[in-house]
Amino acid sequence: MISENNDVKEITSDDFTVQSKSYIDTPFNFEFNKDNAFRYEKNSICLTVSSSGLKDIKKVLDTYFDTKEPENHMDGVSLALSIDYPNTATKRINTGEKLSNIVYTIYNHRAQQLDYRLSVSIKLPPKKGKKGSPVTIKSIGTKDGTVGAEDQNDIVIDDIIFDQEYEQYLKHGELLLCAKVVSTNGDHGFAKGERICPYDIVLYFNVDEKSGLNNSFTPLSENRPEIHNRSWAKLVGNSREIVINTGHPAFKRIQDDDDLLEDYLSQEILRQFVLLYLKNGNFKMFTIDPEKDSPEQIVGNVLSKMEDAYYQSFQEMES
Amino acid sequence: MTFYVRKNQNGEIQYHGFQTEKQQQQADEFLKMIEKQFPEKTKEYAEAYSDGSSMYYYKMGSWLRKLVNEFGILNRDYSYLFNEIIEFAPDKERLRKTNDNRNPYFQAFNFSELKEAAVNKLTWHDWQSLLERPDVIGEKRIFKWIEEYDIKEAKGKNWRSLLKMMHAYLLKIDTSLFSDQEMFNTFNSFVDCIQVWNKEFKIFKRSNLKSAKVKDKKSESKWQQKYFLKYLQIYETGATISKEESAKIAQTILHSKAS
Repeated sequence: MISENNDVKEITSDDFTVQSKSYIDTPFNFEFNKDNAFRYEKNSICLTVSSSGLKDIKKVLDTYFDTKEPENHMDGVSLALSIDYPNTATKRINTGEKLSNIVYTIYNHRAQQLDYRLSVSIKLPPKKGKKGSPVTIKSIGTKDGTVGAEDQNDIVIDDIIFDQEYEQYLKHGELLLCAKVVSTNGDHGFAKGERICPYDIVLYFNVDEKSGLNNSFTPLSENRPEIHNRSWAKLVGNSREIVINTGHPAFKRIQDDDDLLEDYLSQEILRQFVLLYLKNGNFKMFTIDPEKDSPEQIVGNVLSKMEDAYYQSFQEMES
Repeated sequence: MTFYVRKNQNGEIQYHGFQTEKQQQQADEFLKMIEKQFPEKTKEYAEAYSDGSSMYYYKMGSWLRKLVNEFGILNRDYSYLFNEIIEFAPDKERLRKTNDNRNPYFQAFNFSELKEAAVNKLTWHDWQSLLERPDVIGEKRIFKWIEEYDIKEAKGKNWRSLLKMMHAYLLKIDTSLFSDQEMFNTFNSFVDCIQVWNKEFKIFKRSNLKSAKVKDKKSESKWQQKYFLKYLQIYETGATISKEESAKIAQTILHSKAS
């Protein structure tokens, strides 16, 4: 028997003779007590077979006497969250709406109690495709407490209202609701202040949850009266740019009427999106084959796809 | 509300967002103002404080801060503003547009939060290496520490070592639990730790003059990183580490590496 500090207590020893090409079974019972083992510690039962002329053979079996196997402490503590979104079906939050009934549950699966501090904050993630760590834009609050061994605690956080302040940082897009548990005093395997378990969820601020890269683009305007196009689009790496020609007479006519302007812009965006699909070489959705079809067929198909998208946009508006 | 512009591939002006003529006029006026005032101001600062000095950037940052307050520029539009300056009225040639902490105007803007007395404690190059590390300046007390303490020992190469160490520490530890004094003690002990390393490495280098490994700068920083991590591992438990003890750690790492 070997303790953590390499103290040794001999259990038993015996001599055997094993015939060639055979084996022997030696049943062995062992009862742990204070005299033959080390209490509250890891005890390694070590079997050594030595014979003259051969290397020693060692087998080790780790046991824990009145204690537990030390856990990987990162796995020992976990965090869960229950939350009510303002729009039940999605994680979308609009300006002025709030997250309510926010309850974090901290589980301590370890054999020791944990003094913790839970801090909650709203962060701005780095732009898509860019490296970097999220930037804290608002700290929501901190709660200190103690969770016993093999126990759990519910921690209630005040409602978070997404007011105008957040628009300072982001007009629309993704925000992170970040929570972290840190150890408030430096014992039981954690250093003081050590980050134990982070728990981040993505919120969609003034934007629909599903609008990923597929529907996103950078809006731009250029004043180019010499160009006869109302708008044009460009693929830049992974993102798209849509440029509105504000020098076009059609734009100038409607720019002062907000309703008309909105209609005009949405039509142009729609048109450019259809053309962007074409630029991507995505011919399938147009049901065209550039090698077989005649130019009239191709133009006809593309135009009817545009009409299709335009028509559908009205149906979506009504529903 | 202010509007911003940039250049397209052919160098023509592009407006951010879908803007009407009136809004475009506003953006044009704002651009004109920047194009006139920014070079004027930077020239003035360069004459007063020598070009490229810490104070030069501090004054520039303060001017940018004034501009942001005057026009009520929103946080989300900062990158538009700083990139617009890079494109239309830069004070240096060959600046590249970036949306992050590597943008020199963004750095100068952040820099202007500091008290003026502390500005000349470090060169602009050293300040930059701090300002482009968002994780380190996330702990705001680093500025206070620089303001209050004598940091002569932490310049140049040592400064960058110190930042590496702070990064490793802040990645693991949430410092909101610590008092100001505790934080300052931590930073001071890091400076001591680096000094010990420098001393030990010098001795080690002298006794291993022929080793190619020792001459290689990369391997030094690798070993140094190992030493930092070992030091932090002990430091996190709350123990105070004497100079002799940290010297011992350095020696063990160096000797295990050289063999």
